[in-house]
Amino acid sequence: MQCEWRPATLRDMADHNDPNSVNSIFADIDPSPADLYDMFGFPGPDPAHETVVVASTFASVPQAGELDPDLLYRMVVRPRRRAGSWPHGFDLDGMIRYVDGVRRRLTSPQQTGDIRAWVDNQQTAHLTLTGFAGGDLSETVRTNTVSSLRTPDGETIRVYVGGRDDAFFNDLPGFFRSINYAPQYYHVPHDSPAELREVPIPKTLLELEGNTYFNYDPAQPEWGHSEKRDLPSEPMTWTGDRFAKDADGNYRLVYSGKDAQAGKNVNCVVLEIPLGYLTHDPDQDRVVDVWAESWVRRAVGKVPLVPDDPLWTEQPLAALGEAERDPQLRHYKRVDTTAQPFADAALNEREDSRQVGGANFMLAPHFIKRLAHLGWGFGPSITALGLPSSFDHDNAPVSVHKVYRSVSSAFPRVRKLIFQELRMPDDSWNPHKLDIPLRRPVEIFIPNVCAIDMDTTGTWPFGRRLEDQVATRFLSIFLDMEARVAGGPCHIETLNDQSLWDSAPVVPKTPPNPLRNDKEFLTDFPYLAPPW
Amino acid sequence: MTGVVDLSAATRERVERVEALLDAVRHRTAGLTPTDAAVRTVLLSYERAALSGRDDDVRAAQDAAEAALGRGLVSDDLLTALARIHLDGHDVRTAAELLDRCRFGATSTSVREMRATILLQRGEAVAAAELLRTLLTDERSWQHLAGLAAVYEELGDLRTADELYRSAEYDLDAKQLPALAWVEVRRARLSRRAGDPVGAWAHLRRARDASFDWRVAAECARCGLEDGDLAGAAALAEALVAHTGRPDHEHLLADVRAAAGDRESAARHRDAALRGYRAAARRWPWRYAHHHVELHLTAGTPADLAEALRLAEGDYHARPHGATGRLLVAVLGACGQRERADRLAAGLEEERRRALAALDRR
Repeated sequence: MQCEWRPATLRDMADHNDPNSVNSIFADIDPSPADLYDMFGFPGPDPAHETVVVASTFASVPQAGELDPDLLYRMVVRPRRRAGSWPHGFDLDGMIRYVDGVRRRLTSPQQTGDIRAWVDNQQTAHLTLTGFAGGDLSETVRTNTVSSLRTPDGETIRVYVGGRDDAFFNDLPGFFRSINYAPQYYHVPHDSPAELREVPIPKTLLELEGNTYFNYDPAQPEWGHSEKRDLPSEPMTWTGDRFAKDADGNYRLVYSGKDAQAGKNVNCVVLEIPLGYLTHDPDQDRVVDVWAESWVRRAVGKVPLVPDDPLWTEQPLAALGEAERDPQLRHYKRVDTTAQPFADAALNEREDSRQVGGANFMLAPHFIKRLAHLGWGFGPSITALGLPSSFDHDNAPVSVHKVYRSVSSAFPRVRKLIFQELRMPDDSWNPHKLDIPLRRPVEIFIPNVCAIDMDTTGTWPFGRRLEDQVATRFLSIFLDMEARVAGGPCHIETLNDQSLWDSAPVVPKTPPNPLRNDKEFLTDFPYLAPPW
Repeated sequence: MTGVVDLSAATRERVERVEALLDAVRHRTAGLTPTDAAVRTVLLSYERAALSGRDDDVRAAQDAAEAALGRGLVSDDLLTALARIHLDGHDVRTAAELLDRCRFGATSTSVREMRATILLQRGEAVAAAELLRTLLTDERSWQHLAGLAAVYEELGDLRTADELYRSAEYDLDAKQLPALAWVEVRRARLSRRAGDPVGAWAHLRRARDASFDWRVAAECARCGLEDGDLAGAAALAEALVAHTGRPDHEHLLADVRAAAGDRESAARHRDAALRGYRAAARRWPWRYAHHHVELHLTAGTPADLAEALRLAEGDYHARPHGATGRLLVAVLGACGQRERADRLAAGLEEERRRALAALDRR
């Protein structure tokens, strides 16, 4: 890259133009407006006018209320009929059949709606809604203002594009401590190897005795929050054989229960759409699958083409995919996708190559191995707390760091975990008391969509409401939902129950994550709280 | 292109951001470890140097990195930043030694990218291409594509090089317009090598539209000089000298003045360039060696030719690849060492054909 030569002349034998020298290498990785945070989706509150609310939140860059004109935010929407009970065996063959069914469904030419939002240089928001039963729409709206669009049938779609309070309430440093994620706690090289992202120390909900690399340090309470340490010179490993206990015999939870997102803003695209606009058959299509994507404009689209140059879309190494066929998307490249909380951070390990949107069926083998890896970490720590675990860890007394290469060896360990029905704490999620099957983790994470059941409240996993504490609910998949705790069956809110922590041998006596957002949500559109 | 040229406009915002971040590092005491502060300072200083094109800024980044390593601070980021500075200075041996000290060098993308550059500089084009293809398999990126393009460019396969550069452009997003400008400059050079000056100017216009920085300006000035647009070339070269103060830009302005018949001014800028090359060589012996050789070659006196031969031989010894080899051939020819020049030229051509054949087989 540094040497070049032109035989015609001796001039320009120098080349001080290394491509990397024009590539920004800021010590801090700037927050990117392409970084999607969350995908929310739930039925609207008015039973007389059935609507679905979809909200995609992302980094508030350049700032809350001001969107980056080079970004395009997209939501892919697929209304469908509700699936019945699990039709396959609860074994690997059943899993394969299920995944194959998902693949066929997502690759079939079924109705797919597409919502896109972007701003121009004047911060006017442009919205298109295409592929829906109610006809195509293309409108401009003011940012940071609730707007109403009229559909061809005279229905109203409410829209908000702009800044709001971050609706995610979560102890993110606690989560990173639970998976020994070094970049949260240490200065690691920019392109560090995988073992420096998740250090090969057992994942755990309880601190490990002698794990000085990640255990809470009272002498540096801001460590992992606003402060980091230099990377130790030696490899970070752990050779202990028990969970840490204090003088009173209490374990220490790796979570603090504090809201790391408190006081932070996001930018967002929120819509409330009549179900009848989305589908021709709203009586039958009772589930709305949705996922969000961020796309950044390609550099080549920002400057005039060289006249005799072949069209850049014909560039030789690009596969002719969806983006190349779409007249708008061909000017952009997809950066991030999101739907299910923790599908990316916990299961995909934030790998760029796994940003495939809803059609993540090809990741199924990875999910099995990854869940087994997580289970060996979280399972024993759940058992140590006196809770029943859905993961088969052979009664291991302490968390284990185990990586699987083979699906067949991992699968028996996670069979119950991925197939068990996730119990709800009560019947409030199903207000009409309909025969709606409880969802299973395998159905929740494959495909990676926010599947909003219009006959429920839309609380996770039947969608995702703003007030859902999904981080702790995600952890609940490691609980055995057929077992009982404190006189009742385990359910997705068990770990959010303060009384459980009050009686458990652990400090601090708090649920892992905060129980509510730092700002009250609104009861009306756009539902997310105003920005700080 | 005549008139006042503002070379800072394209990068002003980024420079201001770098300055603000550097200032924050200087004044922030809580939460930063000494290593963290050093890494930030070095990376930001290097960023500033890349934006400004000034050697003083490169020196500041190098001094900061060496001082941090001298204090015993250990960080792959420090080592790779210093290695990149040495690579920019064409000191491949020191760069390689620094990369060898990286704790995670075996898996680091940036370290492997620099190793590919080092291989190319050492004349191992096939090995460089193999490493870049491995990197592309791991992760498609514009840098890897551009790196591979540079291998083909070095070997004279201009069509493949241009296709790869075009693919690299396709991977750039709107936040990377300076990189698009850089790739367009490369493509402009390819067009010119292929005998298509009109196509070259089309690429340069695109580069200007993307980011009219000092790199783009320098290439426009060179092309203007070659095409006889002396007024435009002069305006750009003057702006470059004022903006960067680099000796190769003084050299460029001297050539423009000479072409315009202004011998006095040409001599003045030539002397400034010569002083700059010599001063730079005290820190980076090979950074400007090729320009330095050209300057002596153009002067053509026996003393100049002797100095050109000494420098060209040294540069080829340090970086035995096609470009330095062909420059040495030219110098040998000018010095009357025709037999040695022919022998070296034949060897270089044989090596080039062998490398292209090897790449074709893969």
